[in-house]
Amino acid sequence: MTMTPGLRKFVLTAHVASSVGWLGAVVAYLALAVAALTNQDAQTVRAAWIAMGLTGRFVIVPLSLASLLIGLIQSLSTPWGLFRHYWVLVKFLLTVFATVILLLHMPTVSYFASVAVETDNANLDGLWGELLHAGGGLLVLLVNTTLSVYKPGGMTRYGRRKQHAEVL
Amino acid sequence: MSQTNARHDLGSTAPRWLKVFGIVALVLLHLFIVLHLADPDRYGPGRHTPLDHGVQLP
Repeated sequence: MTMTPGLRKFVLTAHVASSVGWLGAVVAYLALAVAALTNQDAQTVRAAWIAMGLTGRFVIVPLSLASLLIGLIQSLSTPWGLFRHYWVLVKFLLTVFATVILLLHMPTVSYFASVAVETDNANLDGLWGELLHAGGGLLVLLVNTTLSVYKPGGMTRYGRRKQHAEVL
Repeated sequence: MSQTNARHDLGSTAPRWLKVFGIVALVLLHLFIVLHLADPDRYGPGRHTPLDHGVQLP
């Protein structure tokens, strides 16, 4: 499957936009968790849970799925491939890992957000878990960004076989 | 840099950056799992107890 140069640029733009948007949303999410933990005021903690629930559900999850899907399409329709270069494969595996952890973690966030909406209570200790998950997510996204920019060398066995076959 | 890349492309082993990355990733993954198991009230799924560890409006 190959793309025209124009379509390839469009897909690349969509991939960069969704990935950078995902990273920025995670930073905003972290800021909410840190603000609530340092303040510890009941109103702030409740507001933070509600905002984190909305950000996670309507921004972070859609952007993560978009980034994963567009990246997959892009890799399979360009000479880079998905399994040819180690950096592409590592980036793909990290994105899948981050997306799976995010989807598994979202019900917990939604639960605490709904508690904050419906009652006068808000979980303070649970915010430490948000620091851990969002911090880990941010680290994974920064590694992915670095891999995309530096594109470190190294071809997989499959990539070398394909390259050898193409030369012949 | 290009010489290093060329050597990796022709060689049969994984590049050095991948080995270093793999070790660091494994260490961080273990830390993540240990934190979940060590303090499930703070980091794990056992956090679903908002009234026990929460703050209430006056």
